[in-house]
Amino acid sequence: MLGSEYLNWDVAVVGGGHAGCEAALASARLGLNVILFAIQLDSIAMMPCNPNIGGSSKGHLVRELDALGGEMAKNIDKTFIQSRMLNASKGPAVYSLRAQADKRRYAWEMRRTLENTRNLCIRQSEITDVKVDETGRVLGVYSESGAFYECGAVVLCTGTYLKARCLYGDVIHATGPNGQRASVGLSDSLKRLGIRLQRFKTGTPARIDRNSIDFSKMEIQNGDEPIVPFSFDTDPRSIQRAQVPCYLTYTNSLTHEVIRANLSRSPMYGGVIEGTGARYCPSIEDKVVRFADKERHQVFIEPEGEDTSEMYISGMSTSLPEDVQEAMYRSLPGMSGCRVTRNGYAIEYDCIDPTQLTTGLMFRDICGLFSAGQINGSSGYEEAAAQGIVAGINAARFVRNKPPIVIDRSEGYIGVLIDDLVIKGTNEPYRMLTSRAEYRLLLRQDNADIRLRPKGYGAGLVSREKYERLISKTREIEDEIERVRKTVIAPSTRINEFLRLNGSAETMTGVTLAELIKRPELSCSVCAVIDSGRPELPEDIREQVNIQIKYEGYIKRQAAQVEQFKRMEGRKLPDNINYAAISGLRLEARQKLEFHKPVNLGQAGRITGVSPADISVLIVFLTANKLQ
Amino acid sequence: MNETIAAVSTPAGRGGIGIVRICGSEALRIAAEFFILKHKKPIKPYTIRYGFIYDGGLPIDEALLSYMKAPRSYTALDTVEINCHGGYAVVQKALGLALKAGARLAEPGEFTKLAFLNGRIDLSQAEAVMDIINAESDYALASAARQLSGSVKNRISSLRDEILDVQALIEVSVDYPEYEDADRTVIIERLSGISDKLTNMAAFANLGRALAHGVKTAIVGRPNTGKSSLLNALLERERAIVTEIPGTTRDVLSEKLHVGSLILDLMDTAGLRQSADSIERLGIERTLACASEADLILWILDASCEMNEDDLAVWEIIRGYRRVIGVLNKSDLPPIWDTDGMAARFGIPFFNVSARYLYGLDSVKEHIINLFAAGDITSGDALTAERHKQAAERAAASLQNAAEAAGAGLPDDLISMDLTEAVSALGEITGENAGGDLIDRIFSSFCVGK
Repeated sequence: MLGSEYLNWDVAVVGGGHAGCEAALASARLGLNVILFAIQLDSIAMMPCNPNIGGSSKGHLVRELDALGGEMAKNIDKTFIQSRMLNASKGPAVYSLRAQADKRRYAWEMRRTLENTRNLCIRQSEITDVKVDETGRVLGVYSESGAFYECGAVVLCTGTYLKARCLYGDVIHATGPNGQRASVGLSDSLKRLGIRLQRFKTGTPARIDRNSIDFSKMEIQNGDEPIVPFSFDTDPRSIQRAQVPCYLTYTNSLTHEVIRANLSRSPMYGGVIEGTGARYCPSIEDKVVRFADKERHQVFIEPEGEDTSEMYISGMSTSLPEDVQEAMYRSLPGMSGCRVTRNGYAIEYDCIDPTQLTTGLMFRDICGLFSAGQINGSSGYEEAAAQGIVAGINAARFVRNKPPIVIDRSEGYIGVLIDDLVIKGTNEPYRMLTSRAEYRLLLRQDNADIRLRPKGYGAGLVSREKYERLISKTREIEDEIERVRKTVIAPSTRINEFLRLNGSAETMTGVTLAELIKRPELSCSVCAVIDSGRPELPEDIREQVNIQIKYEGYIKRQAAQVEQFKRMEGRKLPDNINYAAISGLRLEARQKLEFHKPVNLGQAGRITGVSPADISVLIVFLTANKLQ
Repeated sequence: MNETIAAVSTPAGRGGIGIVRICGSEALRIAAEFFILKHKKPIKPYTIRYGFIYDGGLPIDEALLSYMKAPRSYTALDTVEINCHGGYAVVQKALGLALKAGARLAEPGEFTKLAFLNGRIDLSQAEAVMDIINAESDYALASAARQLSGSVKNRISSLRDEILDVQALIEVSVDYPEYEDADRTVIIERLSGISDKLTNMAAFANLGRALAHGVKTAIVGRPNTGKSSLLNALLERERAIVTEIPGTTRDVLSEKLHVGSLILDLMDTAGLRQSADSIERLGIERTLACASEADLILWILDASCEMNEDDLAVWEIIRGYRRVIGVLNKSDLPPIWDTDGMAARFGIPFFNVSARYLYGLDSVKEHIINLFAAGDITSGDALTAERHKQAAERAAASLQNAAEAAGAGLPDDLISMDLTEAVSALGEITGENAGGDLIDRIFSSFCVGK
């Protein structure tokens, strides 16, 4: 062994991106000694791609992260430069908060939080090896210099750095994102440990100098007023500010011509790239090829920060050669004289097959080794951070000999994300989507605190004071719902006048306030004028009451589905089942179950290749064993 | 696990008696919704009671009900068994009523599985049970596949695809807010269209079953037009009692008759008229029930005398039904009407027949064969399995809900919930699981991303 023995750490986090930051903070805040390694400390919490946090379904993840005691929501509340609530007309389940970040301030603010956290040490170094003993338990990590860091648990958050290659045209750099040094040794170390790897690909558009853009030829996109914070703990009044606009423009036939004429020079189409790309964020080349009949594509021009003139060209990720990129961007309205500051590029990297993990994000076969973020095959800052906090909490619990915390599909998007990754696996970068959450009417961004604060409190990341505040909030909501249900509005000319005014059917009989709120054209706030006994309540409570009353029928339906789901999740499968010996199972099911080793019947049912009949067989098998 | 399940527990076939078994905590309540006891005293466990199966106020069969109370039953759950003797059609009908009242159709081997799970079967049989489940489900799949012809499967699949298309339209605008919003009127129109198609297919289910198990053919008419004579003539034997006294037939007689490749389930019914006789009236009610679910109605008229009020009253009842053939019986007597004139007047074909001298019957048979062989109506186009029909109906109802919600201005996320249910109901027919389909569709149909 080279080098000397270092301090004994509880948890080592490898990587300082969005997953690594949340993992390190969670473990450290739970009282463990944590060391976070980054190849470049100045790149901690770097946003190498889009300059925003949140958006559809990702906003849900950030809220949930906050409910659990994570940092991302607070950090964006401190560093945003524009904020919008998306999908406001599309229903309560899918309202989504999205903020434009000042990238540099976002990263620095996060780094400062790490630095100011007790028990948390940050260290610039490349980790090249993970040491595991013969029983399959992690012992520590080696750095590039040969230094050994002994630790109780390791969390891998290597993002897109493992054996990374960045490409555009015929230029190939063996670097990580944004010119960062790639991690070269760790992939092989993981392979030696028997971990299966895959190779994924993603990409980013060019950055362009705002001084070279004529914004008068574009649509302006301003932020919303008033600004809604991400964190449940941020006082909305404290973050109202002047906002920075984004701009919308479109590609045209000339853009598409330039791209088509040069496809052969793209490493994607030239066959140079071997990684699997995501359908969720296709490059502009992909869009033009796959949607050949579409005459134009949206392009959003978003600031990278307040103190820089660089603009992010959202919608035009590319790996075409430099000259083609320039011609392509210059074909856009308002951009004929634009100056590219950084080229767009594709990046390919090693990641693991996430089906090797438990729902607590630990490798099933290596005790104490966890992984989170893009190394698990996901894409996006929010997806990474969400996994980071779960891995961080569970690494700490592992060191303390406590069972892992698991969030299931009925509890949060974080649960859906992790369950999809570890049970089904993924063969392309996985993006969160609201359509993936089968109980999404219950998993709203507005009630993330009610859903997950108790879990954060139980884990020890949420203070007693915050937890009690939640309890009293829940009580206030229940009381108000009760009152609204019991308040009977008698028919009168005044009431019918009110109903007529709001385009609602008049009433000849007494009707409860709840019944009126349920009408599509009415709501809690509309009914304020006829609700004389209404108590003073904060806006977030009013919103809960409105949603819970208005969508009661639908919510009940989903609650019934969740009950069904919980029953299956509650039926545990012992890990010593010999599936090969269960004769009633079909062969494919035996193999799949043996491979995935699901911990309960619900998981077993979600494995591709396991049929409902196989599940029946398992039920009978389990019952038979219990009887014996 | 607390669901109440139901199934026909006697083998399909020509057996006179069929048993519908209902099993679960709701068994008694569900049975009570369509089984009316002759005597109103409460049902005691382990007794057999006499009564009638009712469908929406109409009695369709007399039957016996037995009740086994949990845990002393085969499955150790509350169990009700209904013995019907109206043959296949009535047993299926009774099952349908149980499902309508809230029971779920039992899966293959499910009663046995429950029996095992509740400790009613010896442990040593566990392995055998496990083998059965997969074997039976394979069998059920195979037989369901047989029941589901290629063309029907394709139609259901393509309707399911259409729903997914609409849902993708909604979802893409939800998951990619910058994408254009879906147009509500278009969505409502498309959903209603799909819903209508499914409703039609479900309605067609009865016909499909008819072709597989016999075309339910009701012989109706006012008393004494010779309905029973016609039955006997068609069967070429004395099945029904024929007298000169109007109202002789008081119950529905049912017989099978092969006509070409078709099997007709001939049902001779009581003549329809205003009658003071309560027994006869019961018979008339059955006639109405029988006509309402018939695939084919033979309307018998006495060709030798003028139409009277009773004839016209019969027409009022049957005029809405899909396939009605007019049979002018007693054509051996001097005929009063010509068939063309009648056809023009009522818009249905008429045939001169003499049940007594056995003539004209062949042209009726030929017409029936052509009717069922022709054009759109082939056995391949129908959902024959009860569970397929149910699934199609559920999907149609979900789509209707979605369309209504869309019309009422409810938000996208709620509309999508109903669509998910519709897709999964149709998936039960085609064997496709939803899950990834929608997401695949979003990314194959819409250009999204950073």
